[in-house]
Amino acid sequence: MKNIFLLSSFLFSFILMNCQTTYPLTNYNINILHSGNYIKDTTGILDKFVGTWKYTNGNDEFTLRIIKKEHDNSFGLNDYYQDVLYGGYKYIKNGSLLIDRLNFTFNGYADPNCPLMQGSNLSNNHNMITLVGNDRIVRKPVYIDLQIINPTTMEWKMTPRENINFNGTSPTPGAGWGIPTTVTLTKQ
Amino acid sequence: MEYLGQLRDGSATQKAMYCPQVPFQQYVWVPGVCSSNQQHETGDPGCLCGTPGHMDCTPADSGFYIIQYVMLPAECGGGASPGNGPGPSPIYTGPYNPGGGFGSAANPCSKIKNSLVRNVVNSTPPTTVKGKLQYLKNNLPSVNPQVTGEISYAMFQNSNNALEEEYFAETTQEHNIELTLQVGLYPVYMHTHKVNGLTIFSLADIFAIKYGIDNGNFNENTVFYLVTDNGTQYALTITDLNSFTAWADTYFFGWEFDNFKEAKEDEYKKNVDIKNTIEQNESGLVNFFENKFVGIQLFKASSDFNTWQKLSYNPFTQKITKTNCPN
Repeated sequence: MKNIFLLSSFLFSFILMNCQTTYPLTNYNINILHSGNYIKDTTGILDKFVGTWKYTNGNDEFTLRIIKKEHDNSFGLNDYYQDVLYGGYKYIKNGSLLIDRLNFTFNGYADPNCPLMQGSNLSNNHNMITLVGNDRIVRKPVYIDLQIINPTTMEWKMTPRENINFNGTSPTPGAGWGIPTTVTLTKQ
Repeated sequence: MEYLGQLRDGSATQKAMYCPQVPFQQYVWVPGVCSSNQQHETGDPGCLCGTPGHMDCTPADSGFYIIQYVMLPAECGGGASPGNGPGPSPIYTGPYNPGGGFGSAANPCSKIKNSLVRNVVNSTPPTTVKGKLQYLKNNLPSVNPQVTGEISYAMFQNSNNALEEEYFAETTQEHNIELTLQVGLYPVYMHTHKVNGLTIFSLADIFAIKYGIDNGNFNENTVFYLVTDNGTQYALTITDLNSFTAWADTYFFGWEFDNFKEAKEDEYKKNVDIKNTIEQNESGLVNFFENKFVGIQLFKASSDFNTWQKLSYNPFTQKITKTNCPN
């Protein structure tokens, strides 16, 4: 079959201009992002999640630290930029320290002290954000919902994420959970 | 295939709308740095394509950028005048076309149709690939509570070119499946997702396809089926193996690191999310493939697996177009 290429002038509106454009975090379309574009938290909506949060129950203590990283491209993995939340946690169970990754670092994606969660996907009402993370104790990939109740109270809810371990390419998640799945956190 | 020029009156759009059997758009690399007034510009300092770190421009050859075109076969009402190109630059489709040219792969509908009727020789009772899909559906946790986890079949081609199945079941972990495949080609891989899991293929599923290709288990003729406890049933076929592997080798480089995986999953989540509707995830996944030039095609099945639809993105309506595969 002989093909003819017809170049549509209409489609030029879809041309990937590759020019730097900033979109607000609360209103952007991932499918029109191009190199150098920036998804910016123009109204500071992520700030309410930022800080150190804690849950205590007897000898159990779960501490969460969330920071906002601006103009981030995930260690160069993305060709666009965005404002992103990163987080780490510390968990003491029955008085024993199981993990402490509050002081995470950003030394590339192979950094052994990397954050334990990240994300910028807000809910429609902007009071909840879902982060992608890992229950590092049992090596389980998870989603983490952070729901702001009031300025000093936030709910943490963790659910498992799809995982395939094909010929050992991914760690086999351990049974159960290593850190709390549902707790109410208080801002410190 | 030859380039005959540009239609500036927009009639290509109208013609494309009535010619759904061809892709509405293709990505091609052209000389320049961006486009303005339907001309390829070569000196706009605001355009970043071609500078280091901008993956849209991989390979980041200086002086080339990527652009979307409508391409119509002559049977769809062509008639462009040769020579009316989009400015002074010709189109290059050789090494800069991530799809490896515009040539068509084997009809992906045929791949599905052909695979569904193949017998699985070691199945008890005897059945076909389609029968095994029905088995998966009958053994979703909501249908068979004795099945608590995801299950899967990998079907390899034996020395007589017949399909034999290998069964993998996960009983203890949520939204997880583990499999170990022997050396050799597996023309069919199918698995389930549980309720409250993704309604469509996960990024980990797509990585598994890439890994299987690298491992010699999958190729462009393999069909990847998914049956979910959210009432959805899909298939993926590779339409351009070179394009897929080129993309996947780059995209998943570093997948073994949790930090990397989370960054990629966070991006994927903008298209495909556990909180999305079925339609949102279909649109999101098709868009993801289109935007990444992935060379892979998504299909959706009817509840009885008798009807399969090819899902494509229509940039004019910004919606998914569903085209029935011929029975």
